Amino acid sequence: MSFVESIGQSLIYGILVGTLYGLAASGLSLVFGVMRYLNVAHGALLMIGTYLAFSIFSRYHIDPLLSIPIVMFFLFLIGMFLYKLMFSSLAKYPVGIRIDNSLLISFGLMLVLESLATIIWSPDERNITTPYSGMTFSFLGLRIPYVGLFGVVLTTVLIFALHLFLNKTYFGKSIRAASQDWESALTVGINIEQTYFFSFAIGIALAGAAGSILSFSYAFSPAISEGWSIKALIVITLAGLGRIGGVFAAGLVLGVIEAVSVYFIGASYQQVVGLVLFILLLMFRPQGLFTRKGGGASSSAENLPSASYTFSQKISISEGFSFNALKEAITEKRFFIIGILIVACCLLPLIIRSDYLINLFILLFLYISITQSWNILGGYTGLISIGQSAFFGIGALSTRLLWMSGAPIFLALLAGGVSAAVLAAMIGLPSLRLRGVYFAIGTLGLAIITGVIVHNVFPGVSFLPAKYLASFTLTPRYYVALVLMLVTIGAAYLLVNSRLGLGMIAVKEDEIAAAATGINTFKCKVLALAVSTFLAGLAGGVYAFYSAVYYYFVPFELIWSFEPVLIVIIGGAGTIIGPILGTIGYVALKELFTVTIGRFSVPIFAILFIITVLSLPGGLVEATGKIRNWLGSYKIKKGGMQNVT
Amino acid sequence: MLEIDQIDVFYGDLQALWNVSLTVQDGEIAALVGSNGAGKSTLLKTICGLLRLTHGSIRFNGLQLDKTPAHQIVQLGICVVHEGRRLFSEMSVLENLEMGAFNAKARKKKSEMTAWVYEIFPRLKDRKNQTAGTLSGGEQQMLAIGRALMSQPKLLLMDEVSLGLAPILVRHIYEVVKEINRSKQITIFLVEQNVRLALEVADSGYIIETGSIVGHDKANLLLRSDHVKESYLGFGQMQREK
Repeated sequence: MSFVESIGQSLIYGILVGTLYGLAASGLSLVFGVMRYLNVAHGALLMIGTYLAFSIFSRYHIDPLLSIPIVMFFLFLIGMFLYKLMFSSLAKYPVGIRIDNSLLISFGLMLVLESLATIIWSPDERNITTPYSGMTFSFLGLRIPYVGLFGVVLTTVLIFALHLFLNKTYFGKSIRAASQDWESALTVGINIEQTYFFSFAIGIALAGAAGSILSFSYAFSPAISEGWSIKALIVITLAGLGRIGGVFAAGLVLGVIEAVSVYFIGASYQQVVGLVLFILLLMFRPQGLFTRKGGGASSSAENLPSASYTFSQKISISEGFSFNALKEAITEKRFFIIGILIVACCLLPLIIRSDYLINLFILLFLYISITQSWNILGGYTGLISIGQSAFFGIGALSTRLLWMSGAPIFLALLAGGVSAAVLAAMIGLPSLRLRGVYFAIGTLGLAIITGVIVHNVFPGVSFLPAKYLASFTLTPRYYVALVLMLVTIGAAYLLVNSRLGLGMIAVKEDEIAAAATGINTFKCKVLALAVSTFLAGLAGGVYAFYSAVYYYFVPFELIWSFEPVLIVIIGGAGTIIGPILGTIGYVALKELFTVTIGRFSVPIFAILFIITVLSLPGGLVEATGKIRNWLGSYKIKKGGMQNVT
Repeated sequence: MLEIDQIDVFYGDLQALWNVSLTVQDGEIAALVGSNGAGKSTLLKTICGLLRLTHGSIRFNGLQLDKTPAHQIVQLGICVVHEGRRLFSEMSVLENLEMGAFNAKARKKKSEMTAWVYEIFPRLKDRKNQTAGTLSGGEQQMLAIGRALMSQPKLLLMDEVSLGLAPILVRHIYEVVKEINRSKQITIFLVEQNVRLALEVADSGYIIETGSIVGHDKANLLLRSDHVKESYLGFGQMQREK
């Protein structure tokens, strides 16, 4: 095949998959555009649609082409149900809280759906074989599969129908009106609640349609959820967040660029393309590819870069860690308690002989570290990273590879931390210049995409070589994990009590006000990101050091992103002690659940998480404030008593 | 027509309106004036259901408004021109007008009303297919008023329609306001920071300060009252200098 033909063939495949990206993203874009709900479970709902088509095909032998309306109808019902169950209560909050909370609960939802699907349909890859599967026809010397052609035609029809619905019908127009200004929409008589309800359900039905088409075009498994979520998120960012139009074109752009670059860089790295595109977009066109600059009074404030840190560089008293804070905090009594705890932890391996318990403690220390690292970012600075697994994973990977190649372990651990911070800089520097959801999407993308790449490039297991295995004991690993935990807690404590730490908290409370009072908000955010990801990378390194049998992709699994968020939110975001206590409870409970209910533990924790976020509806800020007030009043009470005595 | 009886309104823990009572008579132009942050917009938002009161009641032609869902209030014949226009900025002029006639009753007379709005604001007709966000400030204000009129209101609430417009446009808009009131018997409730302008146009006036009504009279009398002169029109200092 000549070069031109190969490129042409890649183009064809790009268009085929690109239209599907467009369709998948259009549902997400509708939901985000109208309600400002960032439903990262969109890919999981698409996957449910795929399996629905699969089940209908295998049970009733109905061709997936014909079952599309059935699948769409079911997904429409599921959408209605999910909206009433989880999303409707967010509607009364301002945009910022809507985005953050919908992101969190849909993240939980994704895990629920994915793990339930794995239980019901097994994690195996499947496909549907129809009479026309594998048949191709020739066009200008290029091979075009029939399934692809059907997919393109159906997708185009559906997108066109959606376009007509939104632009020509009264109800469609009212959906657009509600997305542009919901208060105005309400006062001209549009029933916002109903509009939201149906838009959400329509968005999910579109995910179902995309899933149906996928079912006869490609192979699938429950694990495709994450990939499709992130593709859809990248596509709506390409189109310009909050804009309903342009999504289809953006999907095509992504599909074609991906397919053509696969020709040059190979399929293993295909996923990188989307992420690179996303990062370039953040740097050069955060308003989206097809948005005219200044065209229309942009009502979507989250599209605007924050250019408010120009006059903030001047103040420079001693920045950095303040050791006075540490001295003050460690009053004699506390010092005593903390000292006893540390000594107890140090002595533990001498007393306990059970490997099971030692393993559990190592796990506990690891979890406390990764949770505290997320807390710096999410709890104190208000930057919701749902990609901590990427930093944890890259730290683990670097450490493992270096260690295996003979480097001293402490150097390897350090390298792990540094590599995580470098990876974070790639996504953080462009996305932290902007406000809003870019950081969350970026980190999620990083987590999913690094996971896929590592899965492709290092599919196997890394066993310890004999000379290492001979000297493998748990005790040194226990102490390394203990040191890691102490370093992490100490670093978090010192950081948040420093000047910059106060700046970080100010950024979370009100970024504009913080910038206006002279805080270099960008610097605060970058510092929080650097420290947080360095610590996460370090924790990953310790994990790699701890595991005798090490699967390269395991530390990249999304659960490592999810657990810290879960624990911090339940334990109390923006406090040091909350996440520690939360972790102890979580690890104990998880151990109990794993023993008793096994694979159901993930969905159960995810449901628990959703309930927690929904019952703290004012968002992280309010929850933190409540806990702060509570702790504050406790402190005052205590202080008062001390004065009296 | 509109009776507001001793209402209290809160933003979270913050009380914005204290025991506010006022009435708007059928067919008149009533004005509520006061400075920035006095609670004017809060009152309008409460009337059209975007905020809920904690005490008191609002009645419109005998119907209790404060229990009616926000999207149904427009059907009763109340429509609002929001402060800062609040158009559907990515929809065309025509689509904005269509959205104004969203409720079932108004939808039937849509073309008739559109023609009337074009008659009042011919500029909108020239630009009917243009995206609302690309209109000039004055045109946007016209469209905001036009959109509100599309719902065939009996009572039109107007929030700071003079804000950010050139004086010549302000005069034009207020001419239109008087015209709508006279020709179609639409009652108008104006909320304004521009005290002189509002009281010159209105029949009756209320003064609101830090969330409470502090004065009420015929508009022309209010305009000449010492309180208004001193607090809002800058006569106080002149008198003292004399």
